[in-house]
Amino acid sequence: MTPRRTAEDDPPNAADTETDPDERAPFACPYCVREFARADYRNLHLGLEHADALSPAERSAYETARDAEEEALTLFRYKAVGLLIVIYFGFLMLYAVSL
Amino acid sequence: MTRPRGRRFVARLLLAAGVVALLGVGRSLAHGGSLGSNAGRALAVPTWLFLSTGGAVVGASFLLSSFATDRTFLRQVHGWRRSVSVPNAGRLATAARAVGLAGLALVLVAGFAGPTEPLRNAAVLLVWAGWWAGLAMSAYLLGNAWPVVNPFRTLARGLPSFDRKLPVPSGWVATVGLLGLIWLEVVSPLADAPRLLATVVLAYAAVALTGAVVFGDRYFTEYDPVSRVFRLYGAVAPLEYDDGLRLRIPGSGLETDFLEGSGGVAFVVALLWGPTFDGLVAPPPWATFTRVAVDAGIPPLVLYPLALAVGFVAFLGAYLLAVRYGARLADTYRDPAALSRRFAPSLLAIAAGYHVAHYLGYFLSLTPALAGALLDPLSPGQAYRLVVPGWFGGLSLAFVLLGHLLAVWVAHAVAYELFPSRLQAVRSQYGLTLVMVFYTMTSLWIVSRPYAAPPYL
Repeated sequence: MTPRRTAEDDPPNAADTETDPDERAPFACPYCVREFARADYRNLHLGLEHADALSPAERSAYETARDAEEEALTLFRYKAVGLLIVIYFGFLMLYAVSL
Repeated sequence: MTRPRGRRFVARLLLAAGVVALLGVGRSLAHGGSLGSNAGRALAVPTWLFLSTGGAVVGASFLLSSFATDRTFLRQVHGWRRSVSVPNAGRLATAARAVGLAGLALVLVAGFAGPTEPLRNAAVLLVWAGWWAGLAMSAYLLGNAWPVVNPFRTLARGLPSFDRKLPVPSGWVATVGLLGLIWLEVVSPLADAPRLLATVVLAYAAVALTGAVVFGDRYFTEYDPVSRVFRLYGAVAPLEYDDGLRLRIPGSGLETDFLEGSGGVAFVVALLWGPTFDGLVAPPPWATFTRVAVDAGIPPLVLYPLALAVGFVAFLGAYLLAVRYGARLADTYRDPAALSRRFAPSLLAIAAGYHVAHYLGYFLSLTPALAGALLDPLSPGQAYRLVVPGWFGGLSLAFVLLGHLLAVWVAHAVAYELFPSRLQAVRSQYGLTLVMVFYTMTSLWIVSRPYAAPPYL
């Protein structure tokens, strides 16, 4: 059994460290049975599911994770728009060439 | 009377693909000056382009749905319910039961004693156009009425029950039953031979009533494949029954965790694989393949069930692999079995989309014949068919796409419910989206082949 970790003893950049998935200890939620592969997933879960029970440290961990998520989402949106444009114009040209 | 697979459906879909193509690239074609008479234009779309367009639409809709990142909005859409009051609900249910019983009696009488031409026979029309097209469409477009209408269940109410349970999961029992029914429907002329149809209905009644005596009402809620098909279609519908009638946003019923395990997932996949197999045995590649296989020593009698089983396992395997792949990408500790159970209902939207694309035109064109046969089941007059206008083909394709869009949306909402990180939710769907693209392209490829009668039947 791997030791459970809580929000207090994680390094703030735990989400960025990549380790072998078999050797990682799960990040456990202190309020329910769920476990997460990454600290930021656990911190997001805390804010989403247990918003009323959080300690100040957990709350600030959640807010940090949420801001990072928002930033990553913005990047993802740019990529998605780019891909949509490629698909649209790609097919436009495919149809123009093959019809 | 053949069911609407094969040529007509192909022509419609190709026409529809052409419409989409013309809408999409109309301007570039106009510049080239090649948009003269477009009567033959629809058939000019090469198959590979037609297929990749279908796949790309599904992929693009996944990208579009990933822009909906507001959790509160998703939760509101999912949770929205409004209760609908029904006056005289008890009397309505009694009336529906009476209609079901009268329908069963009519199928048996007209099947054995009515005219043998399928288009004039009330049994054939009532089963295929009225029940399998009409009632099944109402199950996902409005709400599932089969638990009340089901005449076998009504008959079973008067029977004693031993209330036993099978030691195997009910989902798998129902899956085997469904695959058996699909096999029967493909290999036998059930839509053309009223006597055979009535015999099959009698046999089904015997199975259902025996099942009800042994298992009690559990037979209809768990083991019976037909009732399960209707229940799953009903999960797509805007009306649900849960201690009173309630209105919900179509598809939001698919976001709840209602499948009971691997058997429930297998049944959903079988429901999707059924129409695909039905279409697969019609085009020439299948005929070539069967001749080769029969020459190699596989008896034709084994070949069809074998192909049905192999294709089903391939579809199920593709789905389970996709969920596992998604789980790995999403970096989650959630159980892959639970994930496959949660994402499987989204496939029902695709199944419903294909069903309505297949059967709406069929149902409408046979409505006059059905009405004529119902008015005078034993000696109906001339059978009339409604001529469905040409733009209906576009409507069919629109339904197929709508089913896929709904499926992508449902999977999106489910992923948001499962994972705390929204990017994790998006990643978890990569595999599933690939599988949906694969399903779409397979189905579109099958319906784009010309029709040929399946050999060795």
